[in-house]
Amino acid sequence: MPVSGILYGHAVSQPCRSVQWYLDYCGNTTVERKLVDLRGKEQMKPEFLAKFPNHQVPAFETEDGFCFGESLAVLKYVARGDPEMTPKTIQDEARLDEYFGRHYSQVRKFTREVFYHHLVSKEMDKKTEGLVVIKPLLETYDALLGKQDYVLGSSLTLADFLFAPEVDQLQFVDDNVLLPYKNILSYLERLTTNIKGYKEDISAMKAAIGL
Amino acid sequence: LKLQFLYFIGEHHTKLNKMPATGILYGHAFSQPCRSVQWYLDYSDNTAVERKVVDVLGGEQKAAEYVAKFPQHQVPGFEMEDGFCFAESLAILKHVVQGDETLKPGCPKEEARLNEYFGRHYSQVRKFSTEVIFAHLFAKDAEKTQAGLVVIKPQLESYNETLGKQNYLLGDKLTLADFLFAPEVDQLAWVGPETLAPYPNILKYLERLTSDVKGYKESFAGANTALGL
Repeated sequence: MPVSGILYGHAVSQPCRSVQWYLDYCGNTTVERKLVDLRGKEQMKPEFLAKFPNHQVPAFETEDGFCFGESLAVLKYVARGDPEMTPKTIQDEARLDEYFGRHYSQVRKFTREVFYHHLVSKEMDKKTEGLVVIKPLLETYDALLGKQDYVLGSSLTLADFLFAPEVDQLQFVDDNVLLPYKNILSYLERLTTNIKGYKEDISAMKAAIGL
Repeated sequence: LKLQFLYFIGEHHTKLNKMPATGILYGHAFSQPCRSVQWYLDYSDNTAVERKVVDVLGGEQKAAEYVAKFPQHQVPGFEMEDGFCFAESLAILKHVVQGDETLKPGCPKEEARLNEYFGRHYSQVRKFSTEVIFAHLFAKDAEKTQAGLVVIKPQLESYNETLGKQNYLLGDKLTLADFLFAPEVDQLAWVGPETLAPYPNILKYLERLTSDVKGYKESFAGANTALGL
């Protein structure tokens, strides 16, 4: 049976995009989606905090009222039982879990060190420093995506649902920070052409930030 | 029937891995992520995983032989018997735990809560090391250490409150979350006894681990020894 419950999120949030895109990709219409007005600090209001004390999105509420957060947890919860997204071997599983760790410690820097400053804090010095920080990561993933179609190989995995919303937003920083990284750009074109829900997801993000 | 179907794939994976994990763990006794894995191996009496010390203070993780296996030159690193190599403590811990029914989440909600912790571990708890311990032990920068303590204070308060209501991080049962959390929080004692004094529930939790959970006492002692403390 498809997963049901309520997803709380926002179209501009990269971790929310990961989950929303997956739900569109797999054709899930049973998870209700509630918009959290982040700019209006809705995530700090008592009603939200009562469910999600860490005041973060994405957040998920199961049908019986069990509430939890973190994109990794929410994505894995809504994807459980999906044979396509289930690793086939212990090596595949190890590689996916390895990516989850790197996503938090490395890839999230695309947002924390660059996009956040570009869009929200407007601290340009910090953004400039952040671009230096993420350069080796972009080079690594660009090299990787020159050899394979997706982050972990020739098949789409949950890693792509996490990675793409972090990296694609860099196209809207300055005059497109991704221009030197042709393989990453080709990867994003592949997602746009071949992967259900991705084009709509990035369109929604652009609309949410006024692009 | 629905639950059985949903768990079929998980069960299938687990059944393939009922034997204790084998392979090679590369690590060092003071590294918090390495401690998580080493402690679990001791806890589960695993003697099948070979342990190799990587001289991280001497830069061995950047030597060609190591980088050939682990291009991101991190520890812990794990090499399966067929030579497949991967890193990241979360991935290694989950790999060596496969088939351990006592640490397997009992339902989707428990799994969600554990995965929620995994996310928070990386985004919040790892700051205990990256913002405080690194500044204190390696950079020897008192100002940055104090600044780091300010950063992590809300986390310590939050976990102190949680551990005042339950024995372990996610409830009354030991989980993988504890294997990740404890090596990050216990080392704050190295900054000074006053560091954890405001958090009596965390201190009691660490005492519980010391007296009740196999391998923990040795893990902390090993880290102290490795650093000459």
